[in-house]
Amino acid sequence: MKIHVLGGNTSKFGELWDTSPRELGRQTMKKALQSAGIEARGIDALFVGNMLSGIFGNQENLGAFYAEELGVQVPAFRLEAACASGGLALHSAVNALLAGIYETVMVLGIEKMTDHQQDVVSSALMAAGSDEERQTGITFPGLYALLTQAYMQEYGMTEADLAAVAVKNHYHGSHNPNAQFRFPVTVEQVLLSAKVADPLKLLDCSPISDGASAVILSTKKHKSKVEIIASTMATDTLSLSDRSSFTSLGAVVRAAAKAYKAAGIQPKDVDVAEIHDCFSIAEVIASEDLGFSKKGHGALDIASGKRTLGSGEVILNSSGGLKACGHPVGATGVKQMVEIMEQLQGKAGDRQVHKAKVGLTHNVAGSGSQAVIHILKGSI
Amino acid sequence: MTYSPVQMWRRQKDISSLIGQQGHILFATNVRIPPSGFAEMAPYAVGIIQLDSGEKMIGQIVDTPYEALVVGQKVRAVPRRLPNTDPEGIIHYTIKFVAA
Repeated sequence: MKIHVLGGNTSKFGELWDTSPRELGRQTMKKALQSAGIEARGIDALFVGNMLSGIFGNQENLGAFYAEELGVQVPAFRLEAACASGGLALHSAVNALLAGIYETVMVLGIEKMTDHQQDVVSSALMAAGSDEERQTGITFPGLYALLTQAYMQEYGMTEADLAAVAVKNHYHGSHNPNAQFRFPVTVEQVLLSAKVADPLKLLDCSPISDGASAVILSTKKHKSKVEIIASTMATDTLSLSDRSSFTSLGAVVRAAAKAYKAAGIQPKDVDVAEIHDCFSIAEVIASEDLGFSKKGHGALDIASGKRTLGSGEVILNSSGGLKACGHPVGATGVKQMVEIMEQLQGKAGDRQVHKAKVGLTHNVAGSGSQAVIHILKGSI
Repeated sequence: MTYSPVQMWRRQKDISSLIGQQGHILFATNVRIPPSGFAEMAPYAVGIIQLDSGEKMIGQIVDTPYEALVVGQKVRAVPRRLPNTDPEGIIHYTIKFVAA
């Protein structure tokens, strides 16, 4: 059975102080319907990816909340897997379609984070970790800083090598009208930005963001000509300290192996990939775990320009990634799919990857406790 | 961070079994931008510790500045207070590490 991506939409990411979660969801779903050329009554079920609405707004029950905004009375689900909530919502929707339960579904990823102070957001995000981690006062920048330390010890990567990730993603983000940061940065600016958790600096970190993204998936034939050819997920320990490796994320390796097998492709066949670069080290490790770079070479391949628009090799984070496009945590996984859809439709404008035919999305929860991978194919 | 007295009571057993255990630092970071409740301590070092028992755990490393810590350094588990936002005023403890 084929899963077609009928259409999708991503809102502007950033500080959307004049927009409520209701309005943000409603507008994004409406534009996704317009993109697909269908009406709300054609939706058989709604899958909502979100992490923090209960902690921040005491609003759970998001299935009913957003079904109301969509104007439908169909089955509606809220899925949560921390920063991979959007990916989990997509994976759940694909599974339901493959089971033949529904024909056409809406997947909404949404998060409203900037209404709150930084320390409150940092604390809320630690809900993705373990109690042992919370007791230490560690933050997510801190957990990824520990991965950075481990990686630098193992492979001798320098902070300047690592800075290339933010430089590339800001360059890509400068071409994305929906990106939170639409300006380039230099290696020097990254290195001189304030330290958050050594050795990670402010410009190594994705921002706190508001945003929403929605896609419509269907088993019915459609003119969009973009289909999902793999949807996989894997888990690892909740706590970082319990992992067998600190220079690779096991959940990503396992989910990627299943995804490549299901799609019948190799890493070299991927033209464009949206990577979960919550922190710059995450993109370096992901580019190796996904098979694009050799172990220890991820940062060097990014610094050499091989992953930048126009290189002719696999392009990472044409949207600007989490770093420059923004990271409204529940929306990110869905935004990645909308970006790949636009790339495969040839509608990515200034960010278009030449002749992109195969795209991949990589969405990670917490410090690597869950990973969701999707592979999409276009036929234009 | 708020814990109920029942949660706190359940955790005491884990804390007492770790006191005095020795290990070494695998790697560490310096948290400069803390989450709610930890502002008074910041910046503070947090590391992954390899205990001599074979178990790995995450923990704050105290009484030595981050800049003076080195990979492989021997450390020992000690009980220390946690920031307390509990309206009942119960003192909460956790495990931290000091140079052995």
